[in-house]
Amino acid sequence: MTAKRQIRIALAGNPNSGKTSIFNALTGSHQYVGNWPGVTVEKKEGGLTYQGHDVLLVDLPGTYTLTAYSLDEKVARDFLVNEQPDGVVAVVDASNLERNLYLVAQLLELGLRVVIALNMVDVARGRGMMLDAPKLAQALGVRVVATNGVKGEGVEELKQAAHDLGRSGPAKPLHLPYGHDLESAIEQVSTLLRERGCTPDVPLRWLAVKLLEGDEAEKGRCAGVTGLAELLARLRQALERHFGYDIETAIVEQRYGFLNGVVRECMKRRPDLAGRLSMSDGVDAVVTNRWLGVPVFLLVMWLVFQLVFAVGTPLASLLGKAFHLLGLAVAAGLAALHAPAWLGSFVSDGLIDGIGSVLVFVPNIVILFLVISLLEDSGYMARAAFVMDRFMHLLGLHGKSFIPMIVGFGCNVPAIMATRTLESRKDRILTILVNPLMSCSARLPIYILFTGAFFSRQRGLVVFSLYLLGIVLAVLTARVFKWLFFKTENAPLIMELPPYHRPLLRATLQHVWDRTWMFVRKAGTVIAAAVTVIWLLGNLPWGVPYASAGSLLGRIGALIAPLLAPAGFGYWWTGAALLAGVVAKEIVVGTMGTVFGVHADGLAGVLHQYFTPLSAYSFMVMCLIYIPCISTVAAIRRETNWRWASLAVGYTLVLGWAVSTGVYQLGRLMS
Amino acid sequence: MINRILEELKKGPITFQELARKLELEPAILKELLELMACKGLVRPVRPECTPKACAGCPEAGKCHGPTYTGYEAAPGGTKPTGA
Repeated sequence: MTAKRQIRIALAGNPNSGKTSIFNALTGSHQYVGNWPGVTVEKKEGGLTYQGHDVLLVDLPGTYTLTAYSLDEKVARDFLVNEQPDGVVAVVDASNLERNLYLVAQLLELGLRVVIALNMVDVARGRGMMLDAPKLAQALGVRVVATNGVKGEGVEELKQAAHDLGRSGPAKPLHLPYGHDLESAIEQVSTLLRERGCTPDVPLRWLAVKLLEGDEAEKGRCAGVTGLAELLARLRQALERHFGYDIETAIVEQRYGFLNGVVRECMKRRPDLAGRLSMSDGVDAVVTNRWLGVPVFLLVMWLVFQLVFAVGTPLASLLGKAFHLLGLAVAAGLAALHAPAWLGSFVSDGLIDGIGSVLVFVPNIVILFLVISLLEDSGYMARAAFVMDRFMHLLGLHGKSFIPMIVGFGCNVPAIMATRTLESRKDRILTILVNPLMSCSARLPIYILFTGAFFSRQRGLVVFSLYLLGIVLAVLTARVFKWLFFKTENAPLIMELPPYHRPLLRATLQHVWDRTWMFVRKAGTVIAAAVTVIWLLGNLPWGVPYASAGSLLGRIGALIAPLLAPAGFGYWWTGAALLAGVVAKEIVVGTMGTVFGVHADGLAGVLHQYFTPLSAYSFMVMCLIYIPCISTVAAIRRETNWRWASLAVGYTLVLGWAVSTGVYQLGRLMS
Repeated sequence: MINRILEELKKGPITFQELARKLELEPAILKELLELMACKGLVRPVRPECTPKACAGCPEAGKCHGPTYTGYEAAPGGTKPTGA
């Protein structure tokens, strides 16, 4: 009577590949749990009977590779290499095929008999991947069984396959191509081992690869072979010099090269998703194109500003009328209560006109934040950031600094914080120094006010030109600073672009709300405090006509006015407004509103008495460039030191004056 | 493949998708190679992260979108082997 032979099958696979559910489906309640000898790693075995044969299933700890790094991986590897099971069921997560097949390739190189349980095919399909199991089987020369461990699908076929493994002849080890140079080295090591009479229990080629890899666990095998250590050292040195990196990396690289071919052969995208991906690739071919990328980005920026004015301005006008009515109502109310005149002046001229002249632009701000949020959430901003990175790199600058700045058009402070992503301190300081030249949303009320008054037909274009000027100046200034202070290497980036997707309305509206609330809260706190101080200075010494040249405000502004004259706006109140704008840029408009006792609509009329289109543009240029606001200076100091913060203040002041004066004087010459 | 990746990186910034296309690699395989290269110090992963310390004092603390991009950049020293 012939004894029934027990077939011993190992269940191997990556962690989270569904191995446990496959094991449970195969063995049912016939499981035994213990520990692997000498270690505190759980050992699970289970039994099943198939066609009269007992099959012992050994569930190995999850492992990614036969090069063991952890105790779990060592246990799995030792069993597979030393115990030589009758066969291996390799559980492969179909939704993560490339990583899972890495282990399978190593099992096949070891000459083990393998059947692949292609698990989680439904998950792969859900992600748009269609796997051709017969092609995979052909490419690897093994049987492939599609399974779903949770639902128990494919289990019977897998039992059959596992049973057949145990009754099949020896498997031919997979001859994975390692490329000419590595193959030559493998051949030399294999030949030496063969000639020295080394007959290990593993394929000689597999051992040669492991020895070249420097696998510690295999050093003991054929350790006494004369000349082996010297040959390995010589080959490693030569190959590392040739590749430029270590042999282990080179070997892993070749394995992935082989798997790349296998996956391309047997995996396709779902037709409906393939179309979507092609469209996404098609869009990226344009927006990240070497020649078209920057013009597309500039066009998008221009469209953004067109929208800000087209949609926001009518709403801002309505809000302006509402503030006007509020001012009238409050004035009437205070008069009815016989409130003192100074209180009426403070509330009306100071608070309502001062804060109102800023808040009236909330509709424009909301539109700007909405469009930027949509661009961010859709995935376009990452493309814009990449395009600018490449553009900066062309100019010998570090483009990564532009990445936070572009998506932070709202405020310079988060952009400065985001420079912490730059590892090099020199790159960080350089980026921080030029950051304030990127126009923030706080400057927008100034642009909207002046373009409304002087460039009503080309508002979007004029504002676009200011943002563009800021970018150009940032690039040029960065070049100068790099030459002066920071000679560093620029490391280009391989950027992973997020996929395009439809922005979620709720998330977008939340972002818009958060940013708008920040703007409004600033108006109610910082700007309110600032206009209060402005109003006080406009009334002191007590008794002077409000906001006159004789007031403290007027005298302070008069100190600066002569310096502003070459730029076309040498008035005491422009000096006072620019000085107040150091606290927060919106206060430039708030100061004007407080001084003239009017808000936006009324201010436009007042401005016509003092500005021309040319001097209006030069004023906006000054506001774009001159001194960062206090919050930004504080952020610069916090991230660097007082020296760099002082330089940021100093150079922006000089540059602002120089460029605005240059614009005005050149404009005068040309007109 | 690794040297080809480093060669492409020397030419200038490139998107992950474009690099995978150029090298005729499955994106997942390219990702594995880049992670391997990062382990060996041939490239450096770039993964901006928000931290309490970085966000302190920032007006957008807790409200920003988080990392807009991830990627890899060439590590200083180029392709010098780092040893096994």
